[in-house]
Amino acid sequence: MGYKLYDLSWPVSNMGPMWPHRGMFEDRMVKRICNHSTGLPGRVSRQVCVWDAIFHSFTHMDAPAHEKTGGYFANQIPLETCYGTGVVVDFRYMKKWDQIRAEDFEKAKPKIKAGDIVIVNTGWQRYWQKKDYFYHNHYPGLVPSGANWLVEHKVKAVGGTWAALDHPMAYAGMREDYFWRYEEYKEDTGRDGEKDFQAYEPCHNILCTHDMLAIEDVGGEIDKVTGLRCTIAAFPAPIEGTIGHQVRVVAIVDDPGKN
Amino acid sequence: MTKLYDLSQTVHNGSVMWPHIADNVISGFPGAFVGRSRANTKEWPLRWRNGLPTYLGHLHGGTHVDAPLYAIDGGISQDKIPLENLFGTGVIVDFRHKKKKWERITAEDFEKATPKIKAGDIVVCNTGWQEYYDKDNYIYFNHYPGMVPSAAEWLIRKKVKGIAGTWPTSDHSLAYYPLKSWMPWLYEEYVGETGKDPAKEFPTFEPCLAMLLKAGITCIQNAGKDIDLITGKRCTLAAFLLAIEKADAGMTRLVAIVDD
Repeated sequence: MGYKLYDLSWPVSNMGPMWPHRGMFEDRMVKRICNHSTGLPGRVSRQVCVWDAIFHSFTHMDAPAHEKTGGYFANQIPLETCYGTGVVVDFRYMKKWDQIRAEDFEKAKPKIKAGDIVIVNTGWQRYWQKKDYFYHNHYPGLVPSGANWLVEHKVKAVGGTWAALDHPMAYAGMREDYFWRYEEYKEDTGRDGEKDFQAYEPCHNILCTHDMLAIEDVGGEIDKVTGLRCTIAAFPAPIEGTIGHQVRVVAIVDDPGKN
Repeated sequence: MTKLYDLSQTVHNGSVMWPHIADNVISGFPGAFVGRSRANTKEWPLRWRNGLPTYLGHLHGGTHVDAPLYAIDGGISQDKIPLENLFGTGVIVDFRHKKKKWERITAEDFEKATPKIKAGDIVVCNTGWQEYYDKDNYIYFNHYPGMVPSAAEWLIRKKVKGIAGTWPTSDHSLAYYPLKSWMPWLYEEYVGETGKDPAKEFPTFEPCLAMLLKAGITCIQNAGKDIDLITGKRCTLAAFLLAIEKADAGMTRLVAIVDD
């Protein structure tokens, strides 16, 4: 039987974008070194890139070790968690500040089953490298009822076209660091973000402490496979001891017409 | 029931990476080529910055794919390698009888390999040399049995999709003409032991990698780990590499997938 492959990842790029931590934008991602002086035949330049890496960037997972002591580092996650049948669900009806809840997964199509890998299309990837501010601050995000639904339904891995596993307002205690969100949220809704979201990154905690593979910044060709059940592969590269790691998320779709 | 086998070697502090001029620049260590197996310090290539683990190094470490950009003029970068070239049916061939210092892997070895290699296959070669990865890096990098041009030509004629091996690169350990200036310690060792002139035995710099990449064949290096469990089998292989724009290589999780 034939198959077709779809890349649901963004490559590491000097164009970014990166999560708006303080100070991260000083890093140069990829530097090119050319080999003029070491006697390559003809002393031609051969490129060797140096990767100055932040692992929590581009399409990446937050490993269980991110949230729990003794949790898996990225390369320790069992391969079985990173591969298997799954669904790409369509949440593109969602809007700015929307909360992804149990009801959304309950009514999602295709129907989510135990053991699935769930990939969520929020539509927000349309802002990737186009409108950094919208991408990082307004995306529809998981709240605990959604994360708990996934755990209760024995989903083994989840990824989404979201800048983080948690809702953009889930930064209790960090009002000063993300002050613009609180101001805008108040302007839009009339409400205090700190009252509506009283925990710091609760969904990271729920997903990582249950040893799930949890992926952020999914994108690429996701629109082409939204609404399908297919095989998903999301293997981290073999680098030891990292608590975040880029993953190449690939959808493998059966294509009976293809050899 | 699907079973997955991890055929990947990891990069970690203290693991060896193929030595490049880049090493000098990042780490300030002079003479990065000396011994070809200078061990990394405990602070490199992985370290903590801003409260998170980070990486500073080149990409030819652990199990990785070399992009055409790395060896041929006008070659594509690793992020442009089509996913179809990183996935598909393949065979894990047993070359553990070739597990000898400086052994040459030739066309004949592939011709008689089992399972029989077919067009479109991803071929993974188990030479047994992964035994030395991280255990004796001098031996791993300087003495490994490797392909000579007849092997690469065979794979190209066969139209394989990819070639992976329990080796640091697609070329023979001595294929670094002129060896005397590239790897003087290795030159001394080879002449001392065999009395032969490596310039005559291996007159071209990295011939296999260049011809394989030119033919569009995916080249995967440093396979290992659980490969003994799957040697001699046909299965599906995945080598979806960590995509980095315009880069010359990419670390990859090489996985064998067996569906029962």
